[in-house]
Amino acid sequence: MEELILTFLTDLISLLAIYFILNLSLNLELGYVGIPNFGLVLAVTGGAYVVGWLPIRLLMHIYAIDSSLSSDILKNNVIIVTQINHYLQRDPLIGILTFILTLLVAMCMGGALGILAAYPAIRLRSDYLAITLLALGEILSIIGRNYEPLVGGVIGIMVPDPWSWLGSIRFLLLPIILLGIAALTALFLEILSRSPVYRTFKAVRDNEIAAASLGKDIVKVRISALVLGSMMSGLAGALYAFYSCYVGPGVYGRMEWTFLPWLMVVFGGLGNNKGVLLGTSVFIAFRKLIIFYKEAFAFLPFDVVWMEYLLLSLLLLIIVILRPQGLIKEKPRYTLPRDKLVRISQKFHRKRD
Amino acid sequence: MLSTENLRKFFGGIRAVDGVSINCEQGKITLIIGPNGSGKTTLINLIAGYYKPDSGKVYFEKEDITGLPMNKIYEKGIVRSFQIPSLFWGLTVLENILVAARGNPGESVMKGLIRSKWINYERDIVEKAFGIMKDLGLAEFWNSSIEKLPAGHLKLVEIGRALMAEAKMVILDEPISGVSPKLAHEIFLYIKNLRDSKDLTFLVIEHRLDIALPFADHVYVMHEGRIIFEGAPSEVVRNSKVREVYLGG
Amino acid sequence: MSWTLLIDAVTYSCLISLMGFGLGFVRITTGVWNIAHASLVTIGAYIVFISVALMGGSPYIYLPLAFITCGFVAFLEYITIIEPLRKRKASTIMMLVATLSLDLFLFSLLNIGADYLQLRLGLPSKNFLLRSLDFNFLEFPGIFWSSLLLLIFSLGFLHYLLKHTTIGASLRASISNPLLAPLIGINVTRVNLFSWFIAGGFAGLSGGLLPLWMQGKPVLGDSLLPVMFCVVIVGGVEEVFGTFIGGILVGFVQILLTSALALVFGTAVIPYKTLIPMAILVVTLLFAPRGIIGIEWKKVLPLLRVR
Repeated sequence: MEELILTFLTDLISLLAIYFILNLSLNLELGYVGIPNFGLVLAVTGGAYVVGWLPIRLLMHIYAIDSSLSSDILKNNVIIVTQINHYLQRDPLIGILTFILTLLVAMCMGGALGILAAYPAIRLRSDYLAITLLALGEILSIIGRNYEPLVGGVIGIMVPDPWSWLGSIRFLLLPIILLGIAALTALFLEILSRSPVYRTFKAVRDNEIAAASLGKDIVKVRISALVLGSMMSGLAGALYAFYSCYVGPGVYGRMEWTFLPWLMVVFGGLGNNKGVLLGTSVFIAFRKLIIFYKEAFAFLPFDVVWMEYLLLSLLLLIIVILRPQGLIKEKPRYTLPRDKLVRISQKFHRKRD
Repeated sequence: MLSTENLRKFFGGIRAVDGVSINCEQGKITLIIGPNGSGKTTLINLIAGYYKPDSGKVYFEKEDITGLPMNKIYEKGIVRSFQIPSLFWGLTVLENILVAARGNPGESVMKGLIRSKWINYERDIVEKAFGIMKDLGLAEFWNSSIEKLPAGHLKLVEIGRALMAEAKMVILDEPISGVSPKLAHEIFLYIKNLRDSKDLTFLVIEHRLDIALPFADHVYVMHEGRIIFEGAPSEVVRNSKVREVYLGG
Repeated sequence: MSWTLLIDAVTYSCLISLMGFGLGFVRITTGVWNIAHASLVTIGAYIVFISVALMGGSPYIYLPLAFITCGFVAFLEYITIIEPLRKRKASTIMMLVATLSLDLFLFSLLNIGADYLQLRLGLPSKNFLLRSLDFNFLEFPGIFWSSLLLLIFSLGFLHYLLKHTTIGASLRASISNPLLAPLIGINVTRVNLFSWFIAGGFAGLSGGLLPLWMQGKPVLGDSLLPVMFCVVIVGGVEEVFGTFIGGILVGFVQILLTSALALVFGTAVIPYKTLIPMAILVVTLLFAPRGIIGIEWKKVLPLLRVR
């Protein structure tokens, strides 16, 4: 029983961390700059595909895996990865380096896809932009599903586990590592949101003509937001791939990696990171709980996963109609501490008298 | 300081601006008046880079700025306000005004992350913003969200933004529409002070001649896309063409 | 070019035109992209499937049922979700999120229903194909004839509706000037309800036809949503009949191009056929966002002639 709860918690925390990073990226794009990214799955898939493609080839080379196997990576996928993992069990250094390197490449891939997505973002507005980004995400999905040399087509591909050396405590430590990365990402955004950048982003979101007339380069702002956001989504996708040790096209669908993040972010509250955390936690916890208590729901004549979707989508509908700003409202964020601003304002009040 | 040469802008069959040449002298308040639909706002939009003219030129400080995008126009030193308040709805009054600050080092993502690079600049502009807000009577609303402000105050925030921009030339599009006469008078006094003390150049579009005319140094009258008269304020009221167009004869 | 290819192209084009029509219609009349339209299509497919499974007979006799049911669901959607949001002047994106949530809601209901039917009644409700129940006429499959006829009939019906009925006139008025329409006495809510009902009906109709041609499953409508977007946008969002042009164009290009590419590059290209509408969509949005109808041919044609 204990083990069951432990597995539940560690899985919960890991998913929470990964989705938190993804949702922060959507918040940056949609909440801060007003770019409706319906193509989140694009960068997520990009990041995941990097993990599906790079580590296996890199490690195969480092460990000089039998060249007869390497001629068909896909077919011999399982054998190759098993062998690599065997080496990795005793080689923490290579493991960690591979992890970091792959993540960096995944983030670059995300950024590159962000630039690709930025081009339509410069010219198009709201719903048209949303649809274009959706289509771009679809395109990558279709390619990934069918172009086998990339990530094994429909079947997918196994990923070497750079954390093999952790042995039996892997399942405990990995969630903490993921949480750490998520915390760093959140910190990065926090710093950003306490700087003038935040104000500029929101100005572009609220009224881009006025922002341009006050000297803001709209194009640059949108590109920055999309590239940054896509780097973060790429990171999330890569982390998920490493976590599940598998990359397959069925895993990275529109539903899970674009629509659900939208639900989580809108639900929690657009434009502020606390809201994102809340939305993510509620949804992920809800999902895990339903799956955990699957047996309790066994009497239902349908897969209980659908009940989760049902309730969550209903919840979001209610939120959109009754409280569209989400659970946690966006609050102003100043560059100077609040008490300092109050002091300055009082100074001017006094001058009046 | 600013001059236009035969600006033309047609929208299909409508000749919004039809060969307009004006000249705004440095350190003076130039007023453009005219009935609704005479093309005043389109003219401003052409100067400010919102529209590209079909033909004609715009010069600022002897430089050709025709057709430059809006943010480049701002960089040259021209700032404009909007007839219908175009504020940042999700931001507070203070934030709205701070956006207008010029050359903020913290606005790029890379520099924004390093607090030391911009913190002193921010302190300065916050003080400056409060000063402007106080002069416009907005100081107590500094933390109010724009959505909650009464309509008259929106205009003031528009003006406050324009003043914050440290421009060489400020273009105001109907700055006192919807504002009480007393406050309107104060605003123009304020504008006049700025002209005198900081040698700012103003180009103002206004309807309310009773308030605006006394403050103007030079007046242009527009009608159906063309300038039908220019001169000193005192001459304007006496001109027959103007009276016909504006006051119905 | 073989007959089968032509049959496929025509059938597919008619089907996606009928599917896309509803999506485009509510966009034109109320300015909303109804993502739940995808699920309405799926509901139509399931109504026909369940009716055939429970009551037998040809799938075609249940099409009116599908039309009415899905029209009614769209009607409900408008009253409970769209109208309250419109009254509150919700942003386009918020509307999108709302319709998206409803789509997910309906999608889960469909899955729950399908699970139940499979478990309790042993129906192949997660994956069904009704092609065997189709008729053949002149050696062509019934779906070819029915989709084509329905398309032509729909065009006629819409034309009549818009040009010769009062409600049609009200529709045209509120399309061309949504601000002015209420001022001249048009009950905008009633007009919108009507247009949503029609749109939902067409979704159900096209959904009902689909299992005669392709696999029916809970994700049917959602999997075709990108193509529906493509059809509407390529045709032109501002013109009611644009979707049909878009459907024919996209359908033909997709089928014929795939076939042509397969001849050159082999059958490996076939799974990529869904890329074609996506690529068309992206290109259209970037270079001609108002669609085929919106292109100012007077300006473009002279450019093309310079060779």
